[in-house]
Amino acid sequence: MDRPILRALFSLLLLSAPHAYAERTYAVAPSVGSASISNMDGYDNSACVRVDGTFHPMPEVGVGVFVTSYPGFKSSAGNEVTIKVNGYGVGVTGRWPVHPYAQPFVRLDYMRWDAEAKGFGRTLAKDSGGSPGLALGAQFPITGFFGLKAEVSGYNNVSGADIRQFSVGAMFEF
Amino acid sequence: MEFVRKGAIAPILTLFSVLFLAGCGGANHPAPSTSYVTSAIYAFMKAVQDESGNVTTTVQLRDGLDPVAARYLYLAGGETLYTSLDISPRQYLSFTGNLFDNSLGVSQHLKVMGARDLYTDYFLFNQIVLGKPEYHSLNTPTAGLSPVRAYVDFERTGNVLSGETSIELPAPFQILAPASGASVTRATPVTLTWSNVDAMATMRLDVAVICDDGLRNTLNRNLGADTGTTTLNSADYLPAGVSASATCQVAFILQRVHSGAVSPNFASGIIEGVQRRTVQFTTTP
Repeated sequence: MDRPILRALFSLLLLSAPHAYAERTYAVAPSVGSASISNMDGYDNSACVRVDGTFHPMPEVGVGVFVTSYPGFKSSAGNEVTIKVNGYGVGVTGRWPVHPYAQPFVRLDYMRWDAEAKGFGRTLAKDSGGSPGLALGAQFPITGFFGLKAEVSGYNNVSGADIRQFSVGAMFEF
Repeated sequence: MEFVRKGAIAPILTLFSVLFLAGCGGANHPAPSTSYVTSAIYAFMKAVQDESGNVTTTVQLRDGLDPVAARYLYLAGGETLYTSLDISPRQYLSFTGNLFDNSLGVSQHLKVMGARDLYTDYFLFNQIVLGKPEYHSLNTPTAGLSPVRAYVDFERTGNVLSGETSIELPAPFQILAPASGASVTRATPVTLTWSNVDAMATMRLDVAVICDDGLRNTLNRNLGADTGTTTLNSADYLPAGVSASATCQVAFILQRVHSGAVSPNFASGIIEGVQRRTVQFTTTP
């Protein structure tokens, strides 16, 4: 290859590098919500809290980690039994910046969970495992740094339960 | 001071002594279960299935066999009596995976027995003996599952289950005669008949009567082996001295009974599985 052409390509690469780097972002998103069990009756909803940390190598795609907790699914009849679930995992997010202030997203993730059932004044049993999850939602950037988000998501077979949840949260992207 | 004169102290001491003794209680006052090891406790249990299909289980814990002389025990220190049907409390409480499903089963089917004073339901009225605690619970069987096995277990301090006892309930039956709401003259003997004779069971009949002159009566009769029929004269069950013109409401409470032993961890005792059916009618002069 001719020397001038190589020089031109190298110059283009250098010119494009700052642009590509500028589009890499990190997002931290704490959220709270309500979770229910969809495949059996007999439990009240549990609150849920979750924190996502996502790296976006480009605006449309993110890879992330999360931690989440469901403090207690309580039995709604009979003797009270409470099941607490804690989880963490990894996920991949795709988002579409269709509007400066509204960006729908979809997330596929995998949660490792630990569940503990308490009742009759004792720990009844513990269980652990992993479940894939799917989330659909939207992010609402307010400033370049701060935004809000809302999502519906679900995990199947968390110690026998299919969990469905709705959550809202904040998003800090930098 | 004036009130501590010698003459005044004696009656005060006497009064305090009486109050102290009353507070401590005599031999028949209830005692806490925690004061007894399981092998010193006598357990008397009964699981009764009635027309509704539900099973009412009652348990009395005592420190002796004699229901009059023995102390009745009340649960203390977090100790618990559990009941369940077809699956033992121990099984309900021992699971590992599938927490949501298993916990729901425990929540809905394992019952913690509640306390009350000794109670007998005669349908026309109730009889309550104060100061003698018994424990009771209501379980609903799984539809279509027969025969039903009733379980009781006694959880002692430290979540130790130490008294698993069970009994298979006898086969259900129906009272064929007299008809519910029938009117029968006193002179006419009442023939009680029922279906589905069970040669392995014994029959027991409780009768409750309440008359419009205010008198009432109860009768408890062991009928022996199940033959499907028995006959009573009104003189057997009407209250003594009832007015010749009185009309009486009568409840025949018929019970088919299977008996079994309680857990060998107890000193002794018995568990009864009972099918109970009731018919009410009127006796006229």
